Amino acid sequence: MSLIDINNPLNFTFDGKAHSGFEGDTLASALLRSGVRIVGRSFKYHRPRGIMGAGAEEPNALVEIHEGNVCEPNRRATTIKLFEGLTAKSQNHMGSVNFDFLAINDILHPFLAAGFYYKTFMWPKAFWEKLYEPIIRCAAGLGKLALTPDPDSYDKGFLHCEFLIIGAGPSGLLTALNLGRAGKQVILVDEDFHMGGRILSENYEINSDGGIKWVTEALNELENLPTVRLLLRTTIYGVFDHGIYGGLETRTDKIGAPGPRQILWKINAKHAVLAAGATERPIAFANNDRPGVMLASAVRSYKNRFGIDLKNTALLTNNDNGMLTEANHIIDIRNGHHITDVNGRKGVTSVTLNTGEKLKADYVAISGGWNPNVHLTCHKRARPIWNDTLSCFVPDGNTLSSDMSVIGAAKGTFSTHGAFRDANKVSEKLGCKTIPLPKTEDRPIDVKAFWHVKGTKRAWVDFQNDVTAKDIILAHQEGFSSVEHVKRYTTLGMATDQGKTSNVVGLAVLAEATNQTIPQTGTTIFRPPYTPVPIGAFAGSHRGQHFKQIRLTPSHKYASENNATFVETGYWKRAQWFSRAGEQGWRDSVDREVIMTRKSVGICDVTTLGKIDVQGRDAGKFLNKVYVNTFSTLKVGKCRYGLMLREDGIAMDDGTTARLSDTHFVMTTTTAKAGPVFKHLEFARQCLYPNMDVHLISTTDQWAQFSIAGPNARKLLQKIVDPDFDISNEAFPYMACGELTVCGGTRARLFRLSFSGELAYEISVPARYGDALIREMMSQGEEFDAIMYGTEALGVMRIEKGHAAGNELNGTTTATALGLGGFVSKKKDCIGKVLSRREGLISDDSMTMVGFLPVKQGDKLTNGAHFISKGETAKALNDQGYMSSVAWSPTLETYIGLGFLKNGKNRKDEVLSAVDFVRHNHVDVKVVSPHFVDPKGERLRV
Amino acid sequence: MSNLEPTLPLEGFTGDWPDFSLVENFLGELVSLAVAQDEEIAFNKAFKKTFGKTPPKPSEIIAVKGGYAMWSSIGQYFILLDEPNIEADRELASKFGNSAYTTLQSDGWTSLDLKSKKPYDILERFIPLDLRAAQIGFAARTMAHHIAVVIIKFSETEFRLMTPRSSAKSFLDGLTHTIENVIA
Amino acid sequence: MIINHPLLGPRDSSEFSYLGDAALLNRPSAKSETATDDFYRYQYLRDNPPGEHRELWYHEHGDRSWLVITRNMTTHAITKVELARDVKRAMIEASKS
Repeated sequence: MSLIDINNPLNFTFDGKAHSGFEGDTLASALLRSGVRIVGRSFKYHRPRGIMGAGAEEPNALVEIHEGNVCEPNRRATTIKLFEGLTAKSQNHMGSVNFDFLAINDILHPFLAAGFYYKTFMWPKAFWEKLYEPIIRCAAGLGKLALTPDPDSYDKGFLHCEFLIIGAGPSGLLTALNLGRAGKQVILVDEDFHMGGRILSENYEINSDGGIKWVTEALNELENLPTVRLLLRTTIYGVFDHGIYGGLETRTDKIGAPGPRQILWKINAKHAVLAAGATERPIAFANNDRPGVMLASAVRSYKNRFGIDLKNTALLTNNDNGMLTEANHIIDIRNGHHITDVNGRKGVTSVTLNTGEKLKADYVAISGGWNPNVHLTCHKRARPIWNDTLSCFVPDGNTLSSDMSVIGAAKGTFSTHGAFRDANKVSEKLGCKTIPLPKTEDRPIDVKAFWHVKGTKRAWVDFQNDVTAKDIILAHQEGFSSVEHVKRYTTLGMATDQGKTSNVVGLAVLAEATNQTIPQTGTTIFRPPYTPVPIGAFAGSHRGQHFKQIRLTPSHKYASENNATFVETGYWKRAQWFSRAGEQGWRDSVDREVIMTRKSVGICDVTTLGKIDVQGRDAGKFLNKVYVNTFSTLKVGKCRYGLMLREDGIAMDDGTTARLSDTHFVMTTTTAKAGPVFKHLEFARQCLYPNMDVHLISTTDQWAQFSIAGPNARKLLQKIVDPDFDISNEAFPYMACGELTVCGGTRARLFRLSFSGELAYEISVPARYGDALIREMMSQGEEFDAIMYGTEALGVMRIEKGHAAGNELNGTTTATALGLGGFVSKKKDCIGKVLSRREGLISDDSMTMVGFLPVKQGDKLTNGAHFISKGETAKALNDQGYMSSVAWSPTLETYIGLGFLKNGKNRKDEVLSAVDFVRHNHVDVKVVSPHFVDPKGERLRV
Repeated sequence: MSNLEPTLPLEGFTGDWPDFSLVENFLGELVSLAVAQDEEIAFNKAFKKTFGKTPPKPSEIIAVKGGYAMWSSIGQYFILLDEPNIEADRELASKFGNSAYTTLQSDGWTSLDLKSKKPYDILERFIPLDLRAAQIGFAARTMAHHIAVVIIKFSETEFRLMTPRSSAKSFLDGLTHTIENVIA
Repeated sequence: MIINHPLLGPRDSSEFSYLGDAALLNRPSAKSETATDDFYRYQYLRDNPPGEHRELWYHEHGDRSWLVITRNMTTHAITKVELARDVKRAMIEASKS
């Protein structure tokens, strides 16, 4: 009845040696069939280890697959679907897996008990950094990471359904059939590459035929039901709020296969049916970790599903289910027999019983009982409850989320008939008709609790983290008796298998040691993910260039054609400067752009600055609420600078707002704050002033906007603006605005604003014309030697003018600090007004913005330098303020700076030390007015 | 008539894959229409007169005279007009008078039409909404690949995706990457 | 987390951004004699209960509406979702009478 295809052989390598298997094998089954006994070394003691399980619960067979720079560590061999050309390696050994130099740890085991690192490596102190730490670092960890980028591609997706059925064993499949036939939207998932659950590994008959036949027929029907979706190789790794489930689907493990390797699904389900089955647990006894000691259920999986006969097996069981395993020797705990030792370091050779008898065996199959896979019921903090009869934890119906039902072995219903019965019961509860129950086995469980054989030798509880029963008892002896402490002190249950085969046994050992019952001992909490999820899957396709979007300005293409260097400003790419032949570096370009703009005319793309359309009868009134100054009085056809505060009184953003009509304003914000300001305005509109007639819409992308600055700005504009419109100084003075047309009828808006301090305008056209407009302007501008300037030159010019920008509106400065205290209207409230008048913000000692020049011509100023009075020591206590913006001014041929200084407005001409310990640049500076170029603003108004 | 040549954000992109086609269509004009406070009656009257129907409900797009109308937020609609008309917002403003405020939005958006017999195979990879359950004439604003998107379901095989102009290229890259992932 | 928008139906919380306690709807009067203190409380003092909490969310990537959501901070269950605009209007009406 095995599910492997012997007509489809597959070649693979393990530790460099060639092996073969078949389609339908896992790496583990193929290795077992090949007779490979040792597949790795244990974490701490480096003991030889073999395959123990057949599924996600596998603690030992952690392998590294693929090679070199694409190797992937810590994969369970039991869940890797074998494919042609797979290369795999064992982990955690120095030397070969068969001869590991670090096996000396096993001899040193008395010194390596739980928590040993809290008690050692302390002396001599100097040895820690030079000796202990490097050694520990080498020895620590399981597997090694490839240090190159992950070559696989991943994707993500969103699914919606009424019912998510987690697990496609008998109970899950029958539920899916019932719900699917009723036309419900169902998603059925299973972590395996073949649906069927435990049926695939046992010999039960269903309806007097092989179980596989029933599974095949069920799947055929489900695949053809229009409202059912099947997801194979998909693990539901987490349960989240409000019916959201995380699923990781694996498409392939092959490198270079087309398409994404894994898909991370966010599944929205109205109700989940957890049919996740149960996991068998081992028993702790001396040397129970030898290669060849396996879970009885795994021995049967390998026999029935993969066609592998593990000859010469001794079975140790405390329950009836274990008795299904074919074995040469049966050691039934219920008859008072158990195993006291296992011999054969590199592979089981014999077992010793409590009777003294020694039995020859190559494999030991253990069945200590079954643990329902309750993990997903606990992700929202519910805890399972102990069932004494079944000797396991089951979901607590009282604390279970109302949108989850648990059925089958996951609930503690261990027989196949019971699983089918649960499925029909839940299907009825969910409002569907049910198929008559298939006929199948209904064995009772009959388990006798047995956890641990006491003795002097080490008995393993957590195989992956090498935690023994002794460690748990030691933890209790040292005072770490609560289950949460024991977990962390011993690391029980903290490995990549998250205690799937060790948690309950460990609890039982602790309960015995503390003389409590298991319910009294309690459990730790299961958290997502159920099994590991690669970080690549969380990233999906959002990596590298796709990590975040890029926003391009309307002149981007033109700028690219003209040697622009781009800078990322949030999501935007903005031209930083434009290089010309002969220029050595960015300073040459930026200096040229500043000089040419101030000499003739320069054009800069300022589309990125936020533009918000504010319309309504109460638009002006609304703006009064958010700006410190008054806008209701602004005349149509005029612009005004505005400063916006946060409610705590700190400056948030500034910009200019233009009035195009009685009910129409266009607000600008800084590039970075476009989103946050819009959110802030909507908050004010909906949450504070919902009865005002005011409407907001973002128009940042709608209008391409360019600033045209310099003495020839008007002359250039006159070649663009259609002759109907008068833009003379008289008709269109400083701070005017209006709607007009350009280039033979292109709709446009013109604003006479200046950030540079030169005669300047901002022209905007619908973005569809942005590219054409910049080309036309540059062409028309040739007669003026017009240049394009980038954000660097823009920055230099605004510093020369003493305009505050992002460096100054840095989230800690107030209107007063910015020199705009007088700007705040005394006649009205606005957001931030009251708290801006707090004592601490308006004291005499408060910092205000001033300008700085180096005392010594040619000295370099640096941003972030702090000011110390001459003669004082440079320490925090004497801090007088800091430099916020710095530039080389080609106009003045010196470095200039803006910064904040305590009581700055009264300290003009004072000389201070500007100390910079980061760049080791300390210079003397003089306090000056922040307005370096054209302080009277004459050039603006020509 | 303007001397300047207009450009589409994706320069008229067209893409064809087995089972999927993607075309950047010419948007026509997009105008945002906001209802003036306390003017709902006058607004609805003007809307009926101008477009021949009552305004759409939340999550709805309806065919109207001249194009489509979609609900975009409380008291705000997007009007998608078939014909190019850069003065569309001004013309609508005069038709609605005091009952509405209009804003030209055509240039702020990129419009892509997705045609496929199995569109959900693509859409489920990056649109978080339950599009299979949505009605014909469903229109919603949401996020796709971290970028704002308006998704419109014209039929079981025709969808429109609108995204802001400045990030159009990133959006298209994400979309074509998704199509390639699905086809692989 | 799923937020059931009163007009748009259930949407993933990733479409929204969170601001804070719905107490922010209750902006004090600047004219009051105790204005500084009132604003200090308004801006900074919060109860932060482990149970039900009324809070403000902004549908940033959807319809840009502000919502008042009543959510249990321990169980995450959302019991009520209202348009902030309506809540504030009701508050204004109530304060008139």
